[in-house]
Amino acid sequence: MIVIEIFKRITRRTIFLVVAIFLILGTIFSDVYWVKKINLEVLRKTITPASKQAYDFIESIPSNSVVLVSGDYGPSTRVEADPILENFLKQCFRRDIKVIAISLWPDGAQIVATKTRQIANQYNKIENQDYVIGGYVVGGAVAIEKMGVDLKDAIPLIANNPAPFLRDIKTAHDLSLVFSIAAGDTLVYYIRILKSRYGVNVSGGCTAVMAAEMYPYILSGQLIGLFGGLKGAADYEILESNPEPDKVSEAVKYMLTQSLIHALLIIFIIIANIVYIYDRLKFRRK
Amino acid sequence: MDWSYFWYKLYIPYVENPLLGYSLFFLLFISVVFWYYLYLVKTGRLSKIYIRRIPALNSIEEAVGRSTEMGRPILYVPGIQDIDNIQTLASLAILSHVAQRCAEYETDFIMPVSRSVVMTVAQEVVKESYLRAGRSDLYRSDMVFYLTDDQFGYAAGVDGIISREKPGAVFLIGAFYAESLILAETGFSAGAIQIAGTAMITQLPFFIAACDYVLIGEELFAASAYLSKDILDKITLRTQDVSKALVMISIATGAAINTIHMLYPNMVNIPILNVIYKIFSGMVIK
Amino acid sequence: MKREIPLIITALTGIIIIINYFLPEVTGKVTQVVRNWVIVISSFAIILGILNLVIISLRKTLEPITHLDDRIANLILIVSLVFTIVIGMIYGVGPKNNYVFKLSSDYSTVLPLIDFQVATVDTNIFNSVIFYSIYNPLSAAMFSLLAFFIASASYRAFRARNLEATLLLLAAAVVILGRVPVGDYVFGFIGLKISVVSEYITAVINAAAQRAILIAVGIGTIIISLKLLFGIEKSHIGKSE
Repeated sequence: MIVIEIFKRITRRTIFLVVAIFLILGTIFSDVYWVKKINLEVLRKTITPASKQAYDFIESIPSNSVVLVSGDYGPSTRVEADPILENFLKQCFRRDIKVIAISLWPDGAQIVATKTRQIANQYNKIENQDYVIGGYVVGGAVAIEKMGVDLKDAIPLIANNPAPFLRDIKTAHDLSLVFSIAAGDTLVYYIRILKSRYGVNVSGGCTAVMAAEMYPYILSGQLIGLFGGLKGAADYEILESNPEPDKVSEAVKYMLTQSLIHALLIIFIIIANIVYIYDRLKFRRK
Repeated sequence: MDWSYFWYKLYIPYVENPLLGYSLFFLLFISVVFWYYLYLVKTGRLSKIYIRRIPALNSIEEAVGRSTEMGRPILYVPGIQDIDNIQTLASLAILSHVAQRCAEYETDFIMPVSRSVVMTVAQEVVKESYLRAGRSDLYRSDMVFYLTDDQFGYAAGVDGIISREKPGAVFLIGAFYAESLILAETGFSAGAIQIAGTAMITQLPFFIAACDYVLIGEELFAASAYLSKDILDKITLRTQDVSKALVMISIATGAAINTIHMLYPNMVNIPILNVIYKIFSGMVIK
Repeated sequence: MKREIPLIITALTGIIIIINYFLPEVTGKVTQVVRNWVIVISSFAIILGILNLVIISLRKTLEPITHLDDRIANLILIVSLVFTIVIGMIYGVGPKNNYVFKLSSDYSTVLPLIDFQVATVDTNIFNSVIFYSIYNPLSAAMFSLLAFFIASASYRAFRARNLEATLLLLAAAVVILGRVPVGDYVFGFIGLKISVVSEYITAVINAAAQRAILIAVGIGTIIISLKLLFGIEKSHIGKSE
């Protein structure tokens, strides 16, 4: 009964402290070799079907096609979104797909431009020839509407770009895929406007919080596939580069931290229920 | 002018994207139902519409009253989206009701806003409400103020206000993203009565966990009809119900006809079933 | 009349945009202009917001009646705002790549080898200091608060009060464990693939409920838009009843 008395003393602050300790421990131990190995082994067996669909579709795009990648996230969600963007760019550049990189968020433009140039350098791709950077596209849903009518009007920075692959691109309909990595509602806007109205293929990634919301769209075929949160990012990394345990990036590594916190949540829920049921039984006895 | 070319241009989007036709049909259906009820009201044949109780809206009075007793202000957050989002507009309809109660009870009112256009509109709404309550002397232009467009910057700002001002009631009504739980938990720890409302499906669980009353999805849109005394406002609910009935019938028919097609492919050759099958298989996205 | 003009403008622009969605050929040119207006107006509106923010924060800082905490918070806000704008105006936001020598060490040998590598670093102060060193960690910190708040919220919310709450609790537990490797690792010993169960819950049960809410919300949105177009809903011009 002492245990239950201790459980009853758990306050918000206790929970915060324990979560913080586990977060720190998880981050420290995520770099241990055997942890990474177990992580990878389990992740390889449990790839989310939605991630696989998204990956397979990009694999099926012929080389030299043009895709638009829209990194609609800010610094706050970089941990989840950055690995998805990186792996998408790697897959495109590996398959010689031409990329237009934009952001519908003002603070995302910087991140998208830097990441695109960085990955392009690894694959020896040349700016304004194999890829172009469209920067910040102002207008949100209105800009997406404009893309359906005139892509270069919607993205002013690429309007006068000399890149040869842009010559045949008039509207979003000429793109093989629109890939949006969203921390907000932009992916839904892309589906509602570009897919439903103009019939453009839309795929993407989003934060884990939003992944559940996207399922109706995946099942109806309006969204080709989805990389949801850090799990989606880890799936993408395994699908794209199938790394050895000592070469994994943050997405796979931090699955340990996430595992720990999820396990902790379950423990807290169990504790809460033990206390609740104990109290109820005691009340009934009285 | 070449009319045949003009008609061709009108027709071609529907060939390219057959789904557009379904959207058009649905919009026309809703409009016709809406006009029908409008006609009934105007000719005086419809004068009373029953609306079920929505606890969250009934609790507005309680929340404002309690804050007044405690001598604490009321905090109203209209979501983080701009005025073009319908949820923000629905929130403004509830705002006018809340602000009026605040004016009647002489309770202080704080409303930090994350979009400048929403700020301008909200100032107007609050001013009007104070005027209607006959307390325009209590209205100050700094009751509604702008913080920042940045999602988490805004969340941080509102959290700061909650912990400094310790409001007696917090209203979180509008479109929210990942900041929903951050706001709701801070409000909870400040001991405020919390009334939330959103149509963002992924944020609803957070609000339900941390708030006292929640307007779920369409209840948010029904709120202005519920709070208003005007019958014209209430016909929207009737229209909504009829439209939902259409959706339900379509889902049931679509599921049934596709099941029949799967089990007995020959039955679909019967003329009536064939027409129904063609309509509903057109909705399947290839 | 003051009330009617905004309502007429709302109805007109709304109808133009709707016609454009279904019959792009008819109002294509007008819509193009209207869309550009939206972008221009919303961009300029931010000036209005900033002015309001500065005026109210200045007033709160200078007024002696405000609480000391509040005055300090508002002062910090004004200082950071001015600081960011000034730095941004001086240095711009474009990258300024400089080559620098970066110290690196190789631990694969017994004695760590230390050598220099040439690396490109963005030395623009706005990017490197304000964006990457201040704004970036601050935003990430706010977002990461979610981890703590979800823990405390689920501790309070998930109680087996009745049958429905128990079902919710079980479904939540399965999804929480199914999304991470540890769930599969632990349940793998008894031969259960919990990620598959979790995927089933998300893709079937969750999606069905989501669809219901999504459709209802969609219909609600269309109807409120119709109310706006017909001038029945007036909340956006400050009048509700």
